[in-house]
Amino acid sequence: MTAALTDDLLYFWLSLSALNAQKLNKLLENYSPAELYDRVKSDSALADAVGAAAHKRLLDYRSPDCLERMLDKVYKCGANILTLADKRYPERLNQAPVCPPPVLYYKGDITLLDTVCVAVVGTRHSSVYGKEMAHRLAADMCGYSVTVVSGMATGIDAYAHTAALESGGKTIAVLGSGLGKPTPASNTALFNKIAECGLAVSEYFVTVDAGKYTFPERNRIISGLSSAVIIVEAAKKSGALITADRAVEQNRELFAVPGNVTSPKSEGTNDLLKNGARPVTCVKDVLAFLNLQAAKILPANKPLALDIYEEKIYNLLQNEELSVDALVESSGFSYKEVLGILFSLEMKDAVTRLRNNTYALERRN
Amino acid sequence: MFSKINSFGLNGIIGYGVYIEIDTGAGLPSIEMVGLPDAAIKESRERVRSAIKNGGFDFPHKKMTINLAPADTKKEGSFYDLPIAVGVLASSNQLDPALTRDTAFLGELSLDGRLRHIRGLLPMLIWARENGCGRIVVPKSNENEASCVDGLEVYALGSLRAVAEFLNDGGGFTPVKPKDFSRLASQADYGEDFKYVRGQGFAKRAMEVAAAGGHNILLIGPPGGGKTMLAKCLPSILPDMTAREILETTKIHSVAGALNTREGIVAARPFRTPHHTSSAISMTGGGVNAKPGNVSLAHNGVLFLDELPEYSRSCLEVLRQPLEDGVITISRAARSVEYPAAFMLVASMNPCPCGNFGSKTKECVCTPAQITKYLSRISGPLLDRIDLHIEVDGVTYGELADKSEAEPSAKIKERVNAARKIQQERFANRNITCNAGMNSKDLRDWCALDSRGEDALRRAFEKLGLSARAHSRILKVARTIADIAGEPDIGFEHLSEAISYRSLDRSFWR
Repeated sequence: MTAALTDDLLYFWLSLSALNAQKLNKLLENYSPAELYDRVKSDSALADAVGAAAHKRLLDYRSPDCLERMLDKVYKCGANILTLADKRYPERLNQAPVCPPPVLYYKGDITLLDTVCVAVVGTRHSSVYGKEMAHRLAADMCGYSVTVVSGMATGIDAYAHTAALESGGKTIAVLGSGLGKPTPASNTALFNKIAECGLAVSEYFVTVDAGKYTFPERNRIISGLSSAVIIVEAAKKSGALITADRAVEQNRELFAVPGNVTSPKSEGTNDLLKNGARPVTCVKDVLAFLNLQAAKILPANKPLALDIYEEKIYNLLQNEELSVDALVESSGFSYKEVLGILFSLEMKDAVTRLRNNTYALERRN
Repeated sequence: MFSKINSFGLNGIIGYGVYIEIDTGAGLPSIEMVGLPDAAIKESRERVRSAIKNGGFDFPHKKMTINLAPADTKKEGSFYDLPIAVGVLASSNQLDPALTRDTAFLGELSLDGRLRHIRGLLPMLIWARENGCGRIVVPKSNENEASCVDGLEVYALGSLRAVAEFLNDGGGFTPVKPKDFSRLASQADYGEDFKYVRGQGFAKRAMEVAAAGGHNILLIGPPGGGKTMLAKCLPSILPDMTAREILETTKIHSVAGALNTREGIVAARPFRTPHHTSSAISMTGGGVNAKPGNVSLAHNGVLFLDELPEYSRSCLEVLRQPLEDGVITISRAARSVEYPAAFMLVASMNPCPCGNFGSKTKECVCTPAQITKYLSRISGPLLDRIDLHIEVDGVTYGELADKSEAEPSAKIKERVNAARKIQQERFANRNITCNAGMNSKDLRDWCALDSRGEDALRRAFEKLGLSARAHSRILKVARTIADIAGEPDIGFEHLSEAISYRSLDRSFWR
């Protein structure tokens, strides 16, 4: 009877028990999946070990037809399964400290699991500073072909995913709910985009709702999938600090973005720094650790072809960013002329417009 | 005995003729009023009775029927007091009915027989002129308003007694002299002046462009940055009103009863600043009498909404249709009135709840979510209708201490007037007066780009990810900038300047 079932299906059957990964891994230490499938009906010790509810579920789903039907539900969501039996199951995740989920449900490009991954996570209630830093780090890492891993929560997580997608990079979202019910619902558009251009994974069956415990649980997968973890912004009791703890347990390199000492939203990250996390202010700090300096595929910079007027404005901006008013004053040109020159400079990617009618030179490689 | 007196009525800002027929006969003394009068007209019987008695006449003790013809239109207002009183005198032989035949009457009576100010005179006079009425008697305090209309014989009299003398033998009264109000327009005084605004050159330039083309403009900046100051200076550079615009705007103000009796006409572009607690109805107009609201009172002028996100959603959303069409239609159970509402929207707002987001000098304490929520109080469709949005940051001490005076408003106004003149010639036989009102056909006719401009716009679109709405807005503003420069064609520099006035299209707002 067991012969008809592949190991993949057996792991899938186990995951339908809705037992958490810790308990399942404990079972799997003593029994192989096939043994469990055979003995679950008769072995009363086993029934005690898994608990009544899970035992009932295991019995309910214990038929090839039933498993096929459940697998169809996964496919209907556009998702797929990756089990411990699969060769593609990432080495990084399959380590005891991570407590690997026997089945990883995924949607999108599964090969991203083999790329260099760095987690960028932080508080849901971010400040403008946190948003800016999440955006910068994520976008810059994509420039070095690093995959950005995060949890798709509102705030820092969402900013990191968005920045990665906008800069044409790759990103992995680890959900705290089933893939059929992406949570939070406000990020559904982001989820679809990630599933299309990146990868979304979850250890929960597609129809599982997010719960109080699912988010802390999935944090271990975020850090588990990544070589390094960056905490962008976290208050004293932020959930992002759980990811930091997991990263340390799993022996991942932990980075934290230093924040304003007076800002309560950076208390958590500043504490991490005091306790030995590496400070990160720009992407190079992470790359140096990952030995990735050479990996960046740089688009060759086109030399700027500027006429004498553009040159003049460009030179004025060399030292500092200036407002239109200041540029008019120091260049001696009229508003019409300055605005025209700034526009052509902008179209040549030489300058960029900031808030408050202020212009600055574009960052060049 | 029967008498018939000419008068007028109002439907929105359109006048029409009304006849007041009075029949007196035997029976118990009473007054019956028919012809759909409102409460103010019904009450006029008491005012008329006292005014006749106190004016030295006798009120007839007879059964009296007063009909306001046409009988199927609802009449409102207090200006039928005088024609009713004259009719009563004529039907009781205290006045010769023949003398009243070629004259129309309008006026509210006080109990002592004096004539009081009425509202809505101008549109009725305009109707009278178009329909060839001879003489019209109006209250003395409406004299200035009456002087706006030429080609009419209007007598502004003080009391019922004076009206009787005038009818009997002319009484030595002379008709109101029509005023030349094109001269009045340029004399208007506004108080604030751009020469007192230090720094802010970019914002001032944007205000000039907005004024020249009648474009809607949104000022975004921290508190104390000078947004309100800039907006308050705007009237001083608005182009002079044309005779047609003065007449149109005065009509609306007359109907609303918002006319200044001393000036009598609106010769300076209105600058309406409704408070942010205003209701949607106060914006659109309405109520039982379907009176014009702020959008109509700002016709040919400016509607200034300070702290835009503080206005209620409904209050802002009702602006969308008038912003697009330039008119507003108010429908009530009994009637539907159309008021012109071609105004220039000037709005100001903070970039975030604390106000300091993006400021160079102060720190913002808002979260990105709060900022997004704050900005989303202004709906996309409303923002789409705003041509220019610029950021205004506070000035530095150095700029404040600078003693040199900036360019005075009068000089800016010259350029604005010149640019507006070009637009008036361009739209000579159309019902739009400025570039902001152009439709898609006008855009094709007047906003053609050369190959360099076309290329620049295409690249800007790709780089900044602009919307289709932004496209036409940019072209309109570029047209105005070219008009200010006196150029017949839109060039690259006009286009690039127009694009730089579209701050909200920038990625840092998303």
